[in-house]
Amino acid sequence: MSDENRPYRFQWKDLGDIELGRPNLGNTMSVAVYRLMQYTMRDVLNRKFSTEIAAELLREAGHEAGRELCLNMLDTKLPLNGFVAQLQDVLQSLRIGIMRLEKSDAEILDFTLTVSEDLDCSGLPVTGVTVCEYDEGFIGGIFEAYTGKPFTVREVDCWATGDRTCRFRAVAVSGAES
Amino acid sequence: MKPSERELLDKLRQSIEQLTLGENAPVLETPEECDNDLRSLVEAFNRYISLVDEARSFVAALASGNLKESPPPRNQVAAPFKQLHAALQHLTWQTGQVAQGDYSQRVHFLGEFSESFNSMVEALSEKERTEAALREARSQVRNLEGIIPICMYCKKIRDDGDSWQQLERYISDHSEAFFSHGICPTCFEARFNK
Repeated sequence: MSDENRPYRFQWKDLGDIELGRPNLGNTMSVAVYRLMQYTMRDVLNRKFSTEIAAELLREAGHEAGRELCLNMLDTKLPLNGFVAQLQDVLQSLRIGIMRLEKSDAEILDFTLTVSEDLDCSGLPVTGVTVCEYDEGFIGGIFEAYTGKPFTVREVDCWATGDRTCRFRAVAVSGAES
Repeated sequence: MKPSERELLDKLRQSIEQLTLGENAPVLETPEECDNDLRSLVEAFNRYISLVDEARSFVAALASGNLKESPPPRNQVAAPFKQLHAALQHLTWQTGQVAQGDYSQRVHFLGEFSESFNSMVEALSEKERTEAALREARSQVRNLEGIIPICMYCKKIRDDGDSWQQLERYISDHSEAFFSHGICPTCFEARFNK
């Protein structure tokens, strides 16, 4: 389906005026409610399609969210070091997680980072399966919007596999432009 | 209980004692004919000591400062050490960034270490700002150093472009100083009380 024929395409303004709409309940809610939505959605996608397709759809949604967040909440004109510091602050202030860089190669755009107290998975029962496909897409979307290059992001360690912190490796696809 | 099972139980007890002493415990073998519950217990114990061995080797590398040793995957015995490993990797990266002059990074939620590290980065950043201001100030002052050619009669100063400037103008142009004109008592006497 071409872009023009899509019945709906997300825009940042679709998030609405939360201050106006929730003058009493405000801008925050329980993490459990967020997870309730994500994991029931995952469950339905798993059953309607397959675990592989569900993972891919969640990754794609995360990618779109990451790109929109980057373009609407981050200053993409900052140099890499400043951008990383800003990203760390924004993820923390939005209570998404505590991002920490472990390795970075600015030449080939290869980053290893961890997210502790992750919104999606920290505290989940240990199942032995990584569950952060949405996060993978989210991180990829942010880096792609910043650098203009597509990224491959894979979760190396996950809370749900007993690793206490989620570790991701994000690498720019060499030679490609988004 | 068969003698072979009793022997196995005894080995199991010895292995647990070895573990409590911080020693490596050998993997136990079950005899062919063995009670199912006992077999399950020994298998679970073998899985546990394999995880402990993995964790111990990883922690030993970590304790010696070797961060390149990858944390054993799917090993919950080592989980808190993996968290420590991740924190140390992050601090190593942060230190590298500071060494390259990047003072924009901060360490969060690593207890007292965060406070100390962030204070150090703030202090280094402040030191660099002060040094830059000092360099700037010195560059201003340096313009007034050395030999300045001055007219012995009218006190005008010759600048780099070979033109002669009033003393006040020259000093104002080459320093942060400005002049406020007044009359000293000697000149006042000479000019107004003749």
